[in-house]
Amino acid sequence: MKNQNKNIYRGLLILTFIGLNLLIVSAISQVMSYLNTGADKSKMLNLSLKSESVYKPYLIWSDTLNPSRPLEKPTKKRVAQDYLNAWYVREVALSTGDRKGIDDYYTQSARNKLDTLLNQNINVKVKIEGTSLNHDLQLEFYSADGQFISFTDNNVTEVKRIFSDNELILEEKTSSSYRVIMLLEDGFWRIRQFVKIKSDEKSNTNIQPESTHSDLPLKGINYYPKDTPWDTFGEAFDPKILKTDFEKIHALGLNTIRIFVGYEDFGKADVKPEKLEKLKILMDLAEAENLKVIITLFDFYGDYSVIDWSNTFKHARSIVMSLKSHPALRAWDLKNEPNLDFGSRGEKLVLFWLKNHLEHLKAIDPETPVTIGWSTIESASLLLDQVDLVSFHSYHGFEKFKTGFDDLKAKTTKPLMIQEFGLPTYSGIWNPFGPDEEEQADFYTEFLDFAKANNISYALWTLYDFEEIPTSVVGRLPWRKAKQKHFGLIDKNGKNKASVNVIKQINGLN
Amino acid sequence: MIHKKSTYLLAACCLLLLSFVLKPQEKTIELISSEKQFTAGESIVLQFKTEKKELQLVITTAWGTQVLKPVSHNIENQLDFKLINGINQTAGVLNWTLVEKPKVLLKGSLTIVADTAQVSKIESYLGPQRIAAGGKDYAQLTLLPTDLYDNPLPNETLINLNTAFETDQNSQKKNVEHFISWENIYSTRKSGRIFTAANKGEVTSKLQTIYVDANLATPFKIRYTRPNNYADSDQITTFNTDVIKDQYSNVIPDATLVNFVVKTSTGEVLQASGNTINGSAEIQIQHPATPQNWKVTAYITGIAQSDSVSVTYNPAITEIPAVWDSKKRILKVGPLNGMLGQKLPEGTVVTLTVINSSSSEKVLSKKTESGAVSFELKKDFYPAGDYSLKIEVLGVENYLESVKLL
Repeated sequence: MKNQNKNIYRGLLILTFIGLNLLIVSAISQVMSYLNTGADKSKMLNLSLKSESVYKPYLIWSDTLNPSRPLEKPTKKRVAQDYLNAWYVREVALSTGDRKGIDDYYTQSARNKLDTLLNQNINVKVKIEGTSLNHDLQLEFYSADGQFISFTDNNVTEVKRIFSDNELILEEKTSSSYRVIMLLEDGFWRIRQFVKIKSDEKSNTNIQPESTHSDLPLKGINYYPKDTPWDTFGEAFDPKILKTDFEKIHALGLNTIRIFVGYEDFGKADVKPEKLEKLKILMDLAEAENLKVIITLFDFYGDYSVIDWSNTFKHARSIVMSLKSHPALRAWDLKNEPNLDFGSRGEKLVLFWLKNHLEHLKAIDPETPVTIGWSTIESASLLLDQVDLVSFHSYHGFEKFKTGFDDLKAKTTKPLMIQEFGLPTYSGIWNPFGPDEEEQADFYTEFLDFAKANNISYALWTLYDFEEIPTSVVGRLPWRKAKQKHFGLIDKNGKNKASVNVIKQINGLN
Repeated sequence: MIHKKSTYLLAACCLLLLSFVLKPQEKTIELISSEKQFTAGESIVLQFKTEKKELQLVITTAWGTQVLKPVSHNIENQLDFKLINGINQTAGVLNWTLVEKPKVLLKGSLTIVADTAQVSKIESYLGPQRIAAGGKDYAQLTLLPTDLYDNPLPNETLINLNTAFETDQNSQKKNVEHFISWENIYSTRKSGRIFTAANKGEVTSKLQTIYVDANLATPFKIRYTRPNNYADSDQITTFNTDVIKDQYSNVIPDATLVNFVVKTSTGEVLQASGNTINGSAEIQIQHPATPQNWKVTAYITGIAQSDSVSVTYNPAITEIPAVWDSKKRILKVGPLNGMLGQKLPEGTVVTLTVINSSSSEKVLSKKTESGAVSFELKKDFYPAGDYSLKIEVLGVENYLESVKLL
């Protein structure tokens, strides 16, 4: 007994000893690592500064000829980057009052001017949310020793939302030109002079070609692959699956598919080439089956804030420029159901965003029609003048749709499209008396007859019943997910529902 | 009565007409102040004819956007906006928008030009500061003149640019174009300093100095001096270049590295380097320990080289007296005397090569003390027999053939 006690004491003593040592060692290491933190000598000259750029307006050097010294490629890049950073830190300062980075990108005398302005705005509680969208730089002078550069920045498109006392007083998009002088000071190109000059007026009167609608009405379907809904271009992307699916769609007598390009999925501002490649493959396959494609951009995007526009513009530009001449492209759907963001982001901001992005799409691709996939028929009367095709979604009964439709029809002569509609064939725990296949078939009969009679375009929701619904689509609630799983024309066992025949019949097949 | 009626009618008509005239005026908003161009610093007031009171003016300049409220005064149907606090000091295009939130009522722009009457600073940027003589190389001077409010000056503004080299002075007028004015200042044929400064009236830029250095060195000559011509491994030969110059006869800059390469007659390569002072570089090399011929050339790597100089070192001694004491087995070498009969310096190396009958050699060496040295060939190492001995001092040899060791 005594011996056992002794051993226990011994054990305890040893453990305490080890524990104490561990504590001391960890304390010493903490102190050491604290003393080792701080500035790194290699960063002294600002040479190794690497920052991920968050501000990505479209920038080109349209002219680099100058009488003094040829502009080297690295300098060209560095000047452009520092110039954009200067814009960015200023936009941030004007909008939030945070002057971080101003010291890095403006020389002392330029800073004084900027500071005066910022102080005045703070005093009268004025704040400006702004961004620039494109820069066209033309070099005027680059000094022989490479320390001094002067260029003009022509027709910069700027977007601003001006707030006074936290109230929005003006939203505007302007175009101005600047002459800029920058100096290379301790590794940074800093703005020394920045003067707004008269723009050489570009004639904006060139008549834009009318978008053609020769193949109306569109008979379409919203498309996701069966096993990867909301992730068409993910790891499981398989051209073979797409091909069979497109054959099935073609067999239904349809001529259009609507697909979704996720903003983050495609790499935000810097569009991933591999994703674009997949999108092109999809378009080619659709083309092979004589299907037209409506591409819905900015899926799952929800920021809208002005400072982010340079990124969204860049994103749109990359996708549009690489696909605009694809024969299968039928229309750009700018955004799916943006009216659902009115509550959280403010109706004004969202509409401002949509309007300007529509203009941008039109500017870089004047020929392809544009549309917005409004979630309700009531919202579809917004921005009527800006779209070529008025699209809306309808998951309610035919009667409700009919009233809304008559209202909308009275407001516009533009072609209309019921861009999403459908009925889930779900009856189970969450909805014991849900509709069955027959009801779905009736739903489609009613809508499609009406569409045919009135020459309205449409896109069904959707081809397949899905097994998994991502949480980001309808949230976590199981009754919502359950419903969302059963919208298909083909059930999860691959069996055609009754609606398939209805659709074929209406399209003159069978 | 009739008279009165017509008066009423007339009055009524007038009123009716007036109401037509007045009514649209109540609604339209006009800019009263007509001026479109201002000088920086000048007070700018934008006056609008309107009944509305709650309007704001959004001002956008290059640096940012500001929002102004109208100035209060007693004039009916008029709103004044005063552009102060720096807004009126920034040159460039200024855009204004009259806003009745959130509606835009009127838009316009005006131009503020730099105050050329009050030029206050000429910034000058020079680079590179050191250039090569001869008139091909140049330094570039960039001038950025600004007014009192740091606004760059408009095109066609004249600036005087003065340059001076020694007693030559040169003055020229330069136009400002796109805010700046620049000039390439070419080097002179002579090295020295060019001073340059710009001025506009009383205002001057900083005085800048351009250093004109000599251009590339041209081929040069070398020479040498030495206290004697013996290969005594003791004295030092000094090699000098003459004053190295560029093609314009400018002395090359101090501290230019000159490499002297020595090729000996036995195929070795020795190297020493010196930096120029006043155009001339110098190195020192110890005399060789054997009589030799040297070929010396100096290089400024990649730029210029000298002619080759040949240097001959003669034997430092003529004879090596040696006495072999076969009993004690001791070889006494010495006294070793130099050309002037002097004893060789202490520590001169004497090498003895012992060759036995089967031609295998053993080399021993010792240093002289008082001009002499002795070698003992012990029995344990050198068994009895016939040997030959070779003694070498400073490249001079002496053979003792058929030496018998007992």
